[in-house]
Amino acid sequence: MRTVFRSALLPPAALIAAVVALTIWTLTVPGAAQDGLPDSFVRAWRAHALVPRVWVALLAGAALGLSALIFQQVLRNPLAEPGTLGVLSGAQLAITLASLGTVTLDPALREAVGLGGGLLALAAVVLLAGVRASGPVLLVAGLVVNLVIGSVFVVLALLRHEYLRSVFVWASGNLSQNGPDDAIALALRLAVLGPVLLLALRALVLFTLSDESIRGLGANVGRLRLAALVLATLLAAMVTARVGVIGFIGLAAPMIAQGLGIRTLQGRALAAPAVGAALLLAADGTAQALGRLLGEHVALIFPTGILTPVLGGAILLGLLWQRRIADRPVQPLAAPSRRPTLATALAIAVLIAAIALSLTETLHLPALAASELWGGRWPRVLTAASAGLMLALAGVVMQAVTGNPLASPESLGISSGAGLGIIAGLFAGGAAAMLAGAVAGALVAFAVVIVLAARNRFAPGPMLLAGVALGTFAGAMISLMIASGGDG
Amino acid sequence: MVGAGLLSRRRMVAGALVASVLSGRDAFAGVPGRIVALDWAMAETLAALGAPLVAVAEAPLYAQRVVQPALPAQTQDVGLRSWPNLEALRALRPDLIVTMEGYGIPPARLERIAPVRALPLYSAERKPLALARRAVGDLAALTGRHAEGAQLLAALDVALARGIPDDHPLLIVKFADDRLLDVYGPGSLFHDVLAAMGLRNAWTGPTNSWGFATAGLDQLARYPAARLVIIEPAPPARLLNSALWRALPQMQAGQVTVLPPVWVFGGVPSAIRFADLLGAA
Repeated sequence: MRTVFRSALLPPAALIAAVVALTIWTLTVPGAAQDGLPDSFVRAWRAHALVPRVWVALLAGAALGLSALIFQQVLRNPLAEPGTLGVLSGAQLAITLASLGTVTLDPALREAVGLGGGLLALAAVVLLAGVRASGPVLLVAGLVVNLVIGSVFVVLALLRHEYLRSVFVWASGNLSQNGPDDAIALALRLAVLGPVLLLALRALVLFTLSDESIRGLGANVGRLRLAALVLATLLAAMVTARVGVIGFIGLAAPMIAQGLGIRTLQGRALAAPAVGAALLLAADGTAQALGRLLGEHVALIFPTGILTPVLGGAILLGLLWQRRIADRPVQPLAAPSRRPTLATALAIAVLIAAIALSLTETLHLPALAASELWGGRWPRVLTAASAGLMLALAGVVMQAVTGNPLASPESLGISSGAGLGIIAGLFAGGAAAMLAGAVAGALVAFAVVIVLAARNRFAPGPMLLAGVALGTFAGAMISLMIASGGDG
Repeated sequence: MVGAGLLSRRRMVAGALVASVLSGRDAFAGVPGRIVALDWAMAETLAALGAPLVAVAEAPLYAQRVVQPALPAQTQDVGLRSWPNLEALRALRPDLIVTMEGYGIPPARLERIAPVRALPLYSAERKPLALARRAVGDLAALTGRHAEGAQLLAALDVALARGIPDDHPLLIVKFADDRLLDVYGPGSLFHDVLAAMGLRNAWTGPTNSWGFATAGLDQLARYPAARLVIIEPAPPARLLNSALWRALPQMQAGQVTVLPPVWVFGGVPSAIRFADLLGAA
């Protein structure tokens, strides 16, 4: 036990040293890229851009770490956090909807709208899963809400694509600052919310017990949980409103704090924000350093939000490799439907209606005859139906083989691996290499997840964690490529 | 330019009338009567030539980003430039589809609807203005509008020959959001236009295959002697009021110009518009 603890202190010490070195380097403004800058501008740049940026990274990282810790504690689920439960994407969608048509929205308004969107998404997850759910059902509901929000986002992007570029820039997490406003705003909000939450810790410790025991102690479980979740959502939404979606800090920071061997809630309540702040500062420093080192060769900016999954994911995968992430028992999903025939018949009816509508609908184009529609549409309908069928089969096989009710091509990072493979194939060998890239990407992702799962005796929690880490990593690489291929 | 536009619009109406009387895909041997342009550089070139455009991808946004030459009033929208609505395209029964080579939907998908001409603008040689000139010739030949093509190229030469009494190197930028901006360097249409006008582009950094780089404000400060030319939509007030913006060497020297929208990935008409706006600024 002691040796584990001792060796566990090495990585955080190394991380902190690296973060400090990176921060000092980014603040000194040296390097070929900045040669010839007038002194007056260098002073202004440091005061209004670089220093506030360090503060924003620290404050936003701490807020995300704290927010996620509260989610995980009151929901008693190590994978439940603002990202997986749709709070971040809900806030993002609401802010995007509100800012359509105007290039910039007042930051306070963004926060209010983001909070509303985050709470709505959380409410949807809780309603879908059932008020008392805390295990896998909650995560499945979060996955569903995230997917729905994602598709609304895609529809929105197609309809109002002229704003797509700036939305992608913001959505990929950009910490660059112009003045101290964001840093001051975040500091003030944390100064109020932080102590409130730390005081509430005494109550939140109760959530290590079951709901029944808490009730036995005379506490109102529902109200306590609701209050804690609203406060945690507020923390996450204010970060999203200020700097965009910074994924993965929430998932990784409490997990790393736990992996460091910190057991008590009080300890983790200090460690999770600290780890979150260090992670985000390290990711942002890396983003700036990459930009500075490669600035003479590539014509793009590295968004910070893309480097957090890379950095946090690497640490998390490392901890999984060392079997440091404890697994909590995952309850099986609710018993299968007692009326399978009815459900199957309903599914088939919906399928037939969808196919019929897809093949014949001419709502917006009366000029085309049905025979002309048919030729263009049946390949799409067949492709969509086959893709759905294959994904469903893949999900069934994965859930059966892994004995994990949450296993799916998305949750194990295989879909994102394939997506990254497609883009890599496209870059390497054009359209012809896309299929090979997809297959290779999916297989590599699957192999990594299986190896890590095997090292953790196929425990459901670590396996999903490996999948999510890998999926976010691949997703981050994909959005980097989209953001760099500018248009209009 | 204005004269050519009037003439061409009359011709376009006449062409559309004849086409509807003969109502045929193959009514004109070789000269298409119903053209769809999926790329705006091609659309603006065809509009300047007075070719019979029936539809342009993202036609409503074209009016805001490309502005001139205006599309014929009845021009329809066929969806995204990168991925148009194929059924809407088919319903229009075009007899020619013009796209940019290497961008958007694969031509093979479009061939099933109508003959496709995919013309290059951004190639390994990174000379979009030269390719835009060639596209004028190709499109003029394709639509039987040789005189209008020659007129358009002559208008370009006039615009490029206009002397601008300014020895500052120029930084051509467009804001991506309130913190990031795109700078147009080698490989972009604007870079070629500056070179042809005898002006210097200040940006010496790398650019992507479309000829621009995404950068922060600090990258602009590297060129304190340059004049900053901002293409609208202009940056938001929050940025313009910030201390950092006021500390930019170009701001302190009073060397900032804002130009009305010009299409950054345009063809010869956009090159003319850019040169004219720059000269008038």
